Amino acid sequence: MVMRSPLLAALAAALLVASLGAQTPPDESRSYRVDDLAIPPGIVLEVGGLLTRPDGSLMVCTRRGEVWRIVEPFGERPGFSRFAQGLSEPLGLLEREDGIYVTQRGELSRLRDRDGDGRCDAVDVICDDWSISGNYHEYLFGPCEDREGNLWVTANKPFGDEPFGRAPFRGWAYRITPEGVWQPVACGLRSPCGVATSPDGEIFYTDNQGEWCGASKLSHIAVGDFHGHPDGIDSCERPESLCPPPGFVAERDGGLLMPEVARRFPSFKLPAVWFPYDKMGQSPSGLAWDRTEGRFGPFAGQIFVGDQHHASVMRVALERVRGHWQGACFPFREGLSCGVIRVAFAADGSLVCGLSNRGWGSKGRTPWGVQRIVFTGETPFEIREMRVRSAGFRLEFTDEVDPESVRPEAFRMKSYTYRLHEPYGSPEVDGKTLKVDAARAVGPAAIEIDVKGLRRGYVHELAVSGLRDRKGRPLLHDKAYYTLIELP
Amino acid sequence: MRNSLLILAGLLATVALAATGCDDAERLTSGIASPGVAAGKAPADDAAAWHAIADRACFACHVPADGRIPAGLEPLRAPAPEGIATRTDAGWMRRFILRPDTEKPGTPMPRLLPETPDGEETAEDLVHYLVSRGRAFEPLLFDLEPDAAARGATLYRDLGCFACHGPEFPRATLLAKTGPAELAAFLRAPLVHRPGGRMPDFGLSPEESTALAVHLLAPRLQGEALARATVLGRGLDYEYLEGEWDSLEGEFAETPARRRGIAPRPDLSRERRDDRFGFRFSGEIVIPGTGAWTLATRSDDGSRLWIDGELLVDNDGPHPAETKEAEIELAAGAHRIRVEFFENGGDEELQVLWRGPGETELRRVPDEAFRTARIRSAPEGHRPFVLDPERARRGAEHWKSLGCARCHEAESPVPPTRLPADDLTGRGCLSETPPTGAPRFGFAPGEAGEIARVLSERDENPTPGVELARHLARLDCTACHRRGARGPDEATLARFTGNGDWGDEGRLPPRLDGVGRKLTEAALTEVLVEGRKVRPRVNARMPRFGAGNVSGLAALLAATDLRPDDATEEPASDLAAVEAGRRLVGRDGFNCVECHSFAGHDLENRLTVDLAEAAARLRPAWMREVLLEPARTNPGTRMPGFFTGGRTGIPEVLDGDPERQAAAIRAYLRGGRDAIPPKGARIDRAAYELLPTDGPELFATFMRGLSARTVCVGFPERLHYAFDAGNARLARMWRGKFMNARGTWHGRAGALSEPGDRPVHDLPPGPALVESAAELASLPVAGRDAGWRMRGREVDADGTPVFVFARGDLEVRESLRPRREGERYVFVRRLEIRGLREASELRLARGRSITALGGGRFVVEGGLEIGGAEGAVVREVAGARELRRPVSASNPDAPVALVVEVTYSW
Repeated sequence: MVMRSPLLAALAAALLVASLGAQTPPDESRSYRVDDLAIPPGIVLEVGGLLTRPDGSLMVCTRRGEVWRIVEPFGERPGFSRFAQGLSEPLGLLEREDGIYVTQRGELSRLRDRDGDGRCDAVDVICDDWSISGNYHEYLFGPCEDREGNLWVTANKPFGDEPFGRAPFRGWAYRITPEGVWQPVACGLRSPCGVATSPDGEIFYTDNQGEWCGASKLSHIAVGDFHGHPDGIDSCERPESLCPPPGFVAERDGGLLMPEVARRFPSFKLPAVWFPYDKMGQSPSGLAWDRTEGRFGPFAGQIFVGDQHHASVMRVALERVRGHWQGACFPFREGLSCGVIRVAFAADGSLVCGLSNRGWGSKGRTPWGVQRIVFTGETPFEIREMRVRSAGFRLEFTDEVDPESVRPEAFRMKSYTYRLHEPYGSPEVDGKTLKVDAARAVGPAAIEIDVKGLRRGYVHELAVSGLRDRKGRPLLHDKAYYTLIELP
Repeated sequence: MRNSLLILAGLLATVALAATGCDDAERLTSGIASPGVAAGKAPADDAAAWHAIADRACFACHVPADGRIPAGLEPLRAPAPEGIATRTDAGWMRRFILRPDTEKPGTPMPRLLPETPDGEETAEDLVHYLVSRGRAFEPLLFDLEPDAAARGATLYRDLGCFACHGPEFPRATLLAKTGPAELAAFLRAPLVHRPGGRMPDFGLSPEESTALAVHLLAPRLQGEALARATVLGRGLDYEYLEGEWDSLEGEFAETPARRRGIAPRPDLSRERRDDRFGFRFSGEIVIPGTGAWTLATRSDDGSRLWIDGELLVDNDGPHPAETKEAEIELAAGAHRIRVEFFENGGDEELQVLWRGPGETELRRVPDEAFRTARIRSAPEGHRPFVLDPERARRGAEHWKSLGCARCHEAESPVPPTRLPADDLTGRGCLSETPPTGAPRFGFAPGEAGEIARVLSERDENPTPGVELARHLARLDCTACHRRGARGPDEATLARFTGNGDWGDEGRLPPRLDGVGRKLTEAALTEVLVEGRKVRPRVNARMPRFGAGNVSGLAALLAATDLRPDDATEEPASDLAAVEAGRRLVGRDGFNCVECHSFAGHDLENRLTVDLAEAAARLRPAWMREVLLEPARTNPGTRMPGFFTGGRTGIPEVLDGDPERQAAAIRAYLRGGRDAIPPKGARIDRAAYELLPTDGPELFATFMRGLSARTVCVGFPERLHYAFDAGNARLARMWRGKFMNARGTWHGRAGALSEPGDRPVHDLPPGPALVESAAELASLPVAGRDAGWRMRGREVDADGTPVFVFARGDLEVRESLRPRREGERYVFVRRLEIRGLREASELRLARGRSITALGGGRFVVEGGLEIGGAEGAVVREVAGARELRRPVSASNPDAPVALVVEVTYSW
């Protein structure tokens, strides 16, 4: 019989709500709340770039070529005014003393408001030395600034039609000197949606899994790096290139395991972190270092990385081992209303997220928007940091651990790596389950585990069960993925 | 015996109406413009009698002594015979033909047959005849949406049905005679079935007509009755769609079905193309046992699954085959299920899986679990009808001999009878005991007398006012509208709904006082004939009464309401007045756009009457008055006065003269939907069609034939250009529509765009400025290859972009802006040149022929006119002609720039 009784229907609806609620981890929202930004009708905020300013206002550039200034963005009635229009898919903003820098497809530009009326009245070309073929996928990301005042941008490679002719230096990172000189510095990028400067001035970027990119990743970029995608290698021979040819030949060398590629081709750059597919998002995007000194919770100094497909934000803690940046990634916060493209810390210590899922579907309920993640003050029980030791790992937690629950059986570990090959993504290959021999508390909130058989060039996936803090809470997220490139 | 029912010629009245299929009884018993008739009292005045004469169709059977049917008293056509039987239960039809007034109280259909066995036989024959002209009523299966009755009740209230049918529709007759699918079909096209227009056409959508039908037949579609009417079948309803989506959000929901049908299960094993398609499945899923059930979809690309209207599984987005599941507590039994799916490209897959309480594996939901419920609802006692051709043949004879066609068909074989010239009181069918064979109408006390009185007055040359009053009575216009003392009572007025922000103007059907003076005949005709809805916030809908039934009404309204001194001419206007009017209407003027939509632009869907239609709808004299004195001209309006005390709030426009300002507003609004929208118009900037209003709009795109770095600049004045930043040059100009951004902003985008309108005038390829001797003589290479690079662009105080480009020290700043020149806008192209070291030439145009018109004016083949080009020369360059303006080298160190201004028009 059809359930036509309103009472039964209401009951079913209530149960349904309960069961839907159960799909998201129950406690993320207790420590990190998500707020919506109210957008007036008629404004399409498909976020490409996001700038948080000291006065609490936002600048947002959109995939439709506008730049919006939003004052009191999370107040009851945010004030919207259009700062600029007619830009070519701007995907990043950077504020400097002499103006706001923005990447367009064909140029790096500076926006100035010379008369101070709140509207941009000059768009200066800073550099437009590269060419574009007219392929939709030739996006340009950035800029970010290094210690010397150079600006870095990352350039997507094309997929398909190139109506205005093939363009060199696609899938490259470019450096633009303070004099405006264009320097293509590193090749092998695929879809490098996020590029940012670390607090100590190093440049990192995120890349999206696909052909010649076995798993999504966060990588450090330096001049001369080859990041794995062979399409742009031929541009290394051009006079502008600062990147020597890596020697990698797609037809010959495709299919090698990542550590093997690194052994054979010295300029091949292994990542700082691989994001295992679907476990840690599917499309990493913008990234931001937590410089809030605790106002955003217990993760000061760590990196927060958006994911476009999962509408989530992930967390990364890096360390430098034998000169290589590497570390672990952790789930952090799901359930944003749309794919996350950009993240930026606001003056008040919240993490503002710019959203869009146009062209690439995402979880969530809206096609675009802006939200922010706010630390509620309730510290979650999390693995704060995971560091490699020669005989295992050291784990640091956000809260004191119940010593009773520290047992080797609480920790399971496996390791795997990826292939560098042309098919879309790589399965996890050469996997091995590792035995955790010992687990011991080395402080109120720190544990060392001893693991045999650590392998360089492999993801070490840790699963924790049964561990509790002194309040009896289990871990909010019981997984961590450490990308081990170098051993101490 | 039946022969005795043949026409008895010479009798005052012979025969009139025959069986109908629909619902006069409900309407009349609920009371409309002739409440006296309905309430069983005498008509109160001429209007009620006029209504009765039209309704009873006196002049279907009769002609006046002088042969001319009085204007405004024409009979309303009775239902067309073709559809009657199809929607009406045969048993009810037979009873109605015999005893119309008891089966359907208040019907205008008279009794024509005696209540004898012979009479009953005749009625049965007529039923067979009517079935032979259509087909027998057999209730169709239909889908009962769970909220249809509630939506129908809301529609009944919002559309204003109560104005004629009363707040509670009297359902008895409908319940006894028809089915929901049939009633819905009737409501969708009432004028086809009842050409008289007594039940007008509200332009209902299929969903609306179904909901109303469900509401009207509600007693048969609830509880036990519903259970009896429910027919269950295997499978789910499906809709097949084609289109390109990234998600089930947004456009997917608006995509109409290409095909519908029943599918045994929600999967892809039915006819479809390989890519870019979608399905929507709906019906019921039967859960075998109460408990926690897991439902899942496995799909490539996206899918979603709803249970009992709530989204349960969200597997949306483009992706390879992925399984998503969710758990829900469900009672054993049937639950509503809905599954949506889309496929973009590549492989495709769709399965719906479940896992019962205690089970460990997901498995395919078996086909037995899917079913669809449909409804087949017939009146009580309905029996299938078997057509007897012999009876139908006899029925055809009765139809003819009884004169049924006089009322029911456009043409009748029986000629009308002439009315005597003297008093008609108590004669023929108006007598208390009509003679044998005459139709018996069952008049209310006094009604026949009133009809006789009005007919005997013989006012055959009525004034337009009287004729108009007859029409208004005949069509019941004042059931909804007020005009003079007539109109709905307070209780009825209180029932109309709308948007409270606009007061009674946003709720009530408009007053008709002086409407013939206010609206143009064209606007009135549009409303009367097409049922044009003008007031978006009023929920009541103006229905269509049928062109034939309202012809001449617009002219009558004008003839009645127009004043002799009303100016009918349009005020003189020119482009300057149009500009002034646009300014006054916009945000920087009287800000009319705060309340009024413009050309359909109404971003939040909250505004009132569309300004772009005002000049076409309103007569010039009335519009002038309402602008100058809104409250006096349009009593009760919420429109504020803008010229208080004869002074305007905007003194800087047209010397602040109210008359000139009112005339300018009209001049501007006469541009209609093609006028440039006023500043502040609530345009949806999320739409892809770009429409500059408040200033220039800039749009960066890949433009076919130019480069991937093209910036298009569009002006409200409808002049636009494309600047190719890749080659640092002005490239194209056009007029009209600016750009459609879909190819650049939809999905992954990246399509090559084209100018939004034709013709497009191309400027010479290559740099605008050539300096060296070699450059002067040959066709220049692309700007970038010739060393020209963008420095950037600036924005002037008025928002106009200035493009800045350079080659070494030589810098050019270039802008285009529209300027009014006479009755059109032209582009003014301005170039500021700094650092010129050699004698150079500006390349202004290129074409196969260029003609000098004198005074610095030239015309290029294709119609492009260049003005202000004094000193320009035509040169032959690389197979074509170029118009070039020499510029001499200035002192390169001087800060003063060389400025060149030329105009372009076409």
